[in-house]
Amino acid sequence: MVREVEKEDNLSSKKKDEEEFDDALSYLGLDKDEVKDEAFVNFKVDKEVSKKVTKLTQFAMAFRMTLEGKHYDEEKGGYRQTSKAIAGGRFIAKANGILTSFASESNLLTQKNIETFVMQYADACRKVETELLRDRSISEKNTRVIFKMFKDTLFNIGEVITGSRENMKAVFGRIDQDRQENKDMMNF
Amino acid sequence: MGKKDKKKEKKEKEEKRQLRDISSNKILIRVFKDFGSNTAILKAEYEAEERRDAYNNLISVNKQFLHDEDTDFSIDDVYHEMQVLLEFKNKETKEKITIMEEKIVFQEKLIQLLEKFPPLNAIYNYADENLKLQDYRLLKEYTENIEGQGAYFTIEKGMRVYSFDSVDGFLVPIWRGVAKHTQYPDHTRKKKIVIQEDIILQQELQKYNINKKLGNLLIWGIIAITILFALNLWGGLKLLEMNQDINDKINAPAEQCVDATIKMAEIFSDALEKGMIKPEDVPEPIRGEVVEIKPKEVG
Repeated sequence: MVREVEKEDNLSSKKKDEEEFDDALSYLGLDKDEVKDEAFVNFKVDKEVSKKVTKLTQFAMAFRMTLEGKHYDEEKGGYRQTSKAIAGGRFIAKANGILTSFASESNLLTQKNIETFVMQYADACRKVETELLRDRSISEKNTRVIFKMFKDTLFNIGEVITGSRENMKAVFGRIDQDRQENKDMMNF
Repeated sequence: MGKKDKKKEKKEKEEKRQLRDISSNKILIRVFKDFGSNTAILKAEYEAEERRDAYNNLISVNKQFLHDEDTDFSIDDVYHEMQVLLEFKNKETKEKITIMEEKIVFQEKLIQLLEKFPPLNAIYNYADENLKLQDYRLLKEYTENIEGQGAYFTIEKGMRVYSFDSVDGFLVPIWRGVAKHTQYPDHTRKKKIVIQEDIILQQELQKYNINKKLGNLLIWGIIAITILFALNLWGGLKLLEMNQDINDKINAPAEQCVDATIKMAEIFSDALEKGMIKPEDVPEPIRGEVVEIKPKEVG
C-alpha cells in the first residue's frame, strides 16, 4: 500500500512538473520540441580513438559543453542540458575560439616542440585570464574553476600535439624549475 | 566710504584666491560608508593631488592614505548598449523607468525558471541573463538618480570636493544631480583596469622566466664586452712591447756605431792634441770635418 501511494505521489509530482514546464514554455513563448532539440547535442565520444584530430576536437567540445551546463549522456551519445551555464555566451565563444585554434590539424602538421608550445600556452592562458577578469557575467566563485578547466584542457591538447606525455611533464617541470630559480634569485 | 571699499577689495581678493584654488591640482576627498543603514557616515577626509598616470588617465593620489583613484570617470559600455537596445532615445524618464521595471520583472521570472528547469538553459544562458538583470537594475537606478545635469564634485571654500562611497574596499564616486538635488553612488562607471592587466602580464612573464632570461642575456653581454675589452688592452700592450723590442733591435747596431765613432773621434782628437798626428797628414776632404768633431755633442 505504501509503495502504491509513493508511486502515485511520484506520478502526480511528475505531472505537476510537466505542467509547470509547459506553463514556463508558454510564458517565454517557446516551443517544447525546439527546447528539446537545443537541450541535446549529438556528439559521440569515441573512447578508443586512434585519430589524434578526433581527440583534440573532443577536448575542446567537452570544455565548451561544461561551460554551457551540458553533460555527457553515454546512453544516447550526446551532451544533455542538465544544469545552468557557468559563463556568459561571449566568454564561451572567445575561450572556445582559442581552444579550437589549438585543436586543429595545423598544430599536428607543424609538429610542435616544447619551446613553441610553451610560448603559445603562456599566451593563451594570459588572454583567457584577462577575459575572465573583464567578463562581468562570470561570478567570482567560478573564475578560478574556469581558468583551471581551461588550463587542463590545453594541457591535454598539448599532450597530443607535442607527441608524448613526457613532453608535457618536461614543460611543467621546467616552469616549476624556473619559478624556483626566480625565488632563489630574489632571496639572493 | 573707505571702509566699504576695503571690504569690497577684500572680497574680490578672496574670490580671486578661490578661483585660483579651484583650478589647482589639489582636491579634497571625502569617503563615506553606510554601515548597512540608509545614512552615510563620513569615514575619512583628506587632501589629494591630481596628476596623470603612465597611461595618461587623470588620477588623484595621497600616499599617506594609500589613495590612488581615477578622477575622470567614464560610464560603462553596457549603459550605452542598453540605451540603444531599449530604444531610450527621445523618451521621458518616467517611460524609461516603466520599461525597465517590466524588464526586471521578466528577468527575475526567467532566472527563477532557469533555476527550476535546466533544459531552458539551452535557449537562455543563465550567466548572461543574470548579468542582464543586474544591468537593468543599475540602469534603472542610474535613470532615477544620476541622469541629467550634475557633477561628481562640489565646490567648498574654493576647493573641489570629490566624495566616494566605500563598498567592499572599492571607492565608488558619488554623483551630485543638480536638477533633482540627489547624491548617488555611480556604479555604472568603468574602473580602468589597464594597470591591473599590466601587472598580470608582468607576473605571467615572470612565471615563464622571460625577464630573468633577458637579465641573464644582459649580464652575459656585459661579461663578453668586458672580456673583449681586456683582450684588446692586453693585445695593445703586447704590440707596444714587441714594437719597442724591434725598435731596440733595429737601433742597437746604429747605437753601437755611434759609440764606436765617438770613441774613434775621442782617440783621434787626443792624438791631434798630443801631436801624434799632424794636421797636414789628415786628407783634405775629411780634415775640416775631423777638426769640427765634438765628441760630447755627438753623444
